Amino acid sequence: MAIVSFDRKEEVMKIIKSKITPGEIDLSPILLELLILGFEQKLKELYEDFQRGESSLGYLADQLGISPWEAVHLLEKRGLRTTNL
Amino acid sequence: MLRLIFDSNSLITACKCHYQNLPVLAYFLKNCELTVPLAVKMEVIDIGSNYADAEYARQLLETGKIKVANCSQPPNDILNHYKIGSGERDAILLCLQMNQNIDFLVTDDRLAYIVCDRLGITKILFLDLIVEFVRKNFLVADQAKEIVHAVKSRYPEGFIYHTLRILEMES
Repeated sequence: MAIVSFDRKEEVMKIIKSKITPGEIDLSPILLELLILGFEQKLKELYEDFQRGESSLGYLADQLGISPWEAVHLLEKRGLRTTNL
Repeated sequence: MLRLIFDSNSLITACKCHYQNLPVLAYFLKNCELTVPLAVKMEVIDIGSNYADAEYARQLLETGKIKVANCSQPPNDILNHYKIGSGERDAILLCLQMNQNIDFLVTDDRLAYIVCDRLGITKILFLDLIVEFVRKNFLVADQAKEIVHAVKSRYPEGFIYHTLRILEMES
């Protein structure tokens, strides 16, 4: 079972909420939980591609709808390397 | 004076890592003309002032210490078929556009580096840019070694060790 730590959850929640127009979707706790898990899964898949050199950091960020600066921050918080050399 | 284009990743490294309380980028600015594509500028603006490193980049953009150039799409769509982000793509396009007026595209991304190679663009890793600055007497070797230590968390150990060995030979 996938577990997301509280710190990370707060951070990802902030990103998700920033992408949604207020009133557009009723973000119930379960929907939010699913969105957070989906985000984490997508990040994991994109990071694997990035580390294999199949995609760039900018691509990872673009696919997640965040800036590369946010992407670096997210990766560092997870103890992951931010270059793919 | 070196004429450089930075992509997002290398710009983040240079703004994020500090040496003697200054972002590493500060040690490069007086001896280079640094340009970024509009897409990289927009990434900095979009992030707002949430991150100190992005805020430093924003100030440099606002004061013109980092120049911004717009790039036009080439006649083919080769770059759109690679999994590179808009910042890297536009940095590459800008290099093709500015051609003889650029010394290096600074990138630490493996894919962007290979694409540059295939397009005949003169590219350089940020660590090799540090070495280049020593060779041009823009930095002294000891200072360069400290800067390498300041950015070491961003690179695999082999790249750091190799760079330090090159700098030892340069001193």
